[in-house]
Amino acid sequence: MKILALVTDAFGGPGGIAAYNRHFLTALAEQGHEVLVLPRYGEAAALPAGLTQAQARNGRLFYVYSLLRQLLRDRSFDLVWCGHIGMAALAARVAAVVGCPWWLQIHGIDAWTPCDRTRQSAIRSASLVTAVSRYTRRRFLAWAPVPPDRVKVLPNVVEPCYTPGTKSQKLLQRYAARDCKILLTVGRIAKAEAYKGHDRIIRLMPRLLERHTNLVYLIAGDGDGRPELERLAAETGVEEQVRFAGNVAADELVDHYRIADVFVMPSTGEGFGIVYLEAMACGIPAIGLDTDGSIDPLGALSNGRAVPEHLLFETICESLDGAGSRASGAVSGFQPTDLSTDVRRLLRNAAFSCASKP
Amino acid sequence: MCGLNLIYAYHAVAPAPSERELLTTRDHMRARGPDDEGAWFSADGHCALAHRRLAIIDLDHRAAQPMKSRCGRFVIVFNGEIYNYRQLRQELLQAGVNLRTESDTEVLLELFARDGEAALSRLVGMFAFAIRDEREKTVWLARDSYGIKPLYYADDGWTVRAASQVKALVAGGAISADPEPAGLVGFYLWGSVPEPFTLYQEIRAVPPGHVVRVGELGAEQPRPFLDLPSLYRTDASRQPDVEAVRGAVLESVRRHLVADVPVGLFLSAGIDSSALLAAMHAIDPERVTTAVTLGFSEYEGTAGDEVPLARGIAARYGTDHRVRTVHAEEFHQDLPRILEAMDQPSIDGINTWFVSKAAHEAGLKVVLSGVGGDELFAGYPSFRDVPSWRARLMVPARIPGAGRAWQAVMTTLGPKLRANPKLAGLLRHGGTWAGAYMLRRGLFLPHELKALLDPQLLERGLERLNAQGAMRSLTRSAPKNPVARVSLLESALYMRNQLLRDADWASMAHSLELRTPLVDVELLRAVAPMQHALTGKDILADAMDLEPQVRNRPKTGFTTPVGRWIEAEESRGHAGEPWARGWARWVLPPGGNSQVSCGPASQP
Repeated sequence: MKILALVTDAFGGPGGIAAYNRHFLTALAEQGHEVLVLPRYGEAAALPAGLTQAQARNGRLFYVYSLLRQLLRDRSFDLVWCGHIGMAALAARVAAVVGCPWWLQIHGIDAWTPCDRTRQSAIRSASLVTAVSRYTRRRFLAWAPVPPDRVKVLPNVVEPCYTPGTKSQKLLQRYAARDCKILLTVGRIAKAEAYKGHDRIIRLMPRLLERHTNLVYLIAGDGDGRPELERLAAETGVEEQVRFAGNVAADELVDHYRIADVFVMPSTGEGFGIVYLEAMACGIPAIGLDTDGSIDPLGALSNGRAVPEHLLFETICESLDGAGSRASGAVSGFQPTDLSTDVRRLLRNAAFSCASKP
Repeated sequence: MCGLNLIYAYHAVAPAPSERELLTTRDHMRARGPDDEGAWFSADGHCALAHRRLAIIDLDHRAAQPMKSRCGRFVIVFNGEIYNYRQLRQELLQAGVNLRTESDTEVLLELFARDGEAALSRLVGMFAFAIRDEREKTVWLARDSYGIKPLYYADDGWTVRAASQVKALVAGGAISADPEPAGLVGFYLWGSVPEPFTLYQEIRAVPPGHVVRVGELGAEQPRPFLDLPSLYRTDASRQPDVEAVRGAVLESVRRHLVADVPVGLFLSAGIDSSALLAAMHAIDPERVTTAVTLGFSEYEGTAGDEVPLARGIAARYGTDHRVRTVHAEEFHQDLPRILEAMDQPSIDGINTWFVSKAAHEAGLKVVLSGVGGDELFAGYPSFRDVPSWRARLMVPARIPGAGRAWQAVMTTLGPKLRANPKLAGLLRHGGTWAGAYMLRRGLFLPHELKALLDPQLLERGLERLNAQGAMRSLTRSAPKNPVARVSLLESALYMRNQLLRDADWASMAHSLELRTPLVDVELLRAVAPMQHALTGKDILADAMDLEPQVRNRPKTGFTTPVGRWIEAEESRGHAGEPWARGWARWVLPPGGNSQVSCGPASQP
């Protein structure tokens, strides 16, 4: 099968969506499909065999121009894969021009509320929609003009490098957290993403410190919301116990999970929440709320807890009480091989065999 | 009739079905099957089936469900009756299949094990079932062509759940309570929730005459095996033939009498139930049928009282006739139970509740009902009105702006003239088959819903419901003659969504199996070629040799003085509007909580 992938970013891009796209596109290439990726951002250093990634085109017009040039050169594609709902209208048009089915991937908050009429009309023509979580699927189906049987769940997966390991003394020293219990959150601290719930933990810190006097709350990630959190920590009187790690380099991220005793992110806006998976893969118990896509990774694995907000405090305390004995880090069902299996099944799906070109 | 449910965690990361959820859902349907119960878990623990049984055929425990096929590969839970099971059983026995029971369930199971999906189009009856294939790790959900038996399913992306009732699925606790705008809007448009929608976004009905395969990727698109429009399409065209109708009705009634328990009858003073009684008598003159008739003190001495005529009919055929009188007090007393039993909001069903209650009190487990006679033999005024309105309004409706102008005028003047509020939609809708049908059957018209529902919800609901589009598609698939078109609309919309659903919840609440010989695919096949020339139910009356008093009696059906009774409830309608509108607003208050809701509220 020859597949054209329209993505925001994939190889060479940062963040969860780029990581998801990489796993997905790698799975396609490994199954012998010929894949051409057109990204808007990111430059790839190395690519899997069978996969070509065109030069990134940041501006919308440049991107469309580059796509048109590509279609003038060659439009013998069997499938168009659209990696973001924001590109759905474009993907639908390309699929119509090429005369092949198209597949829409949806991630999180962007797919939760109705998009404009043009995009809705485009989405109607998608042969298949895959969502990273049941929650995102449900929110999408609440407004999208697509029959439920055409929307499947294809969850995030975790990189194999996330495994249990010993605590890095270097990091413990850096954060002055030797002999401390560490509560960790990993995620951007953007004002626009205040739903991630760092503030909820800071507000709980005084009560948590009553139960665990040697507790440290480590926040990995940075953004324009940090000054507000710092102010909140000071107002709450816990600035000594809240440590801001800033942006963490990719090669240090695993070690950050490993020094934690409990991972917590009481977010209300996660499409899936890959950080929970990463934490659990490192053997760390992970806690989130039961109001969004977090419920999928947290509910499916034994060291995850998705709870209502009023139980958050007690759940954190219970997990801190039990901290010390690390879980196995097994994340069965959320590994790249699982994604590959699901992709193979989906490609066998009748939706494509019926809709594909004669 | 029974209650079935299943949980299939098809995705690799989905938690295994919980026994607690499985049994909670199953036991929510206790009244559907008081005689036996069962549950089964697949070897890998990912699939679970449960069943509650109302034993009708082969009363022995050996016929209990879930039932495994001889080869061990298939497991079934089944609700309904396969009326031609004896013929199919014989065929299986001749083919060397050893059967362990006398039940229709086993015949269905072994036939499916042998022929797969091809078996479905051979089934004559009312059925809804789930079959698990242990080897292929799949589940099949299927439902009869008319949709007599209900079957609902919900796929959350990891797990598929199915059950005979919406409320039972919700009671399991794992289904999202997100409201379905199309279900809400559909209720106000029609007075019942139109399939495949329910009040819940996640829960859908398996379309009648369709099969849904659930595999490693979840529920697939429903595929037809014998859908209703295909039964209406017939190349043959013949003049009405009384003898042929008699033969077909007798055959259908004979099929519907297959049971190992006595079969009773709901007897009104109308043509349909009288025809059924005449057929029962013709099949076995020695048979003493228990027939149940409702009487209302409010109707005594009026033309609406069916009891005197029903007594005469019952006496003619040597029936054990039970007349049950219902008073307003009993209605008010039963109302909480009625609302609890009502699976989805409905503006009807009260009549079936009381007559089922009476049948249960008479010791019956199975009854025949005359539902479907009007749809098949052109008994409703809609057979006259819909083609006539369409023909007269087709041209004026096309004048640009005329429909809107008429609507504006009538919306203002209508209340002052105490005119039917639907009159305002005459020009906008009356010029098409779909629109004229909506005018005839609709509860509220789309433009009226703006006053009831949130604009965004209304817009989304109307778009998803696509009521006119769905009706257009139905009429396009029907034969060109007006009777067949209206018959298909009535059967696939009003009867399926309203009458059959009400018949199901109201009878099942009294552990009573309601059978419908006039809703039968073989009978439809016999009558469809004559439908073009039908002008009413005279042909049925002639075929069953009914007395003049019965055939000349004005149509009432199983009516109840509900309109008067509910005035005591909070359902008092607006001045001049049909009482059903007030009832609808009380059953499912716009923007409020449904009276029939189970657990989570159904509106945002």
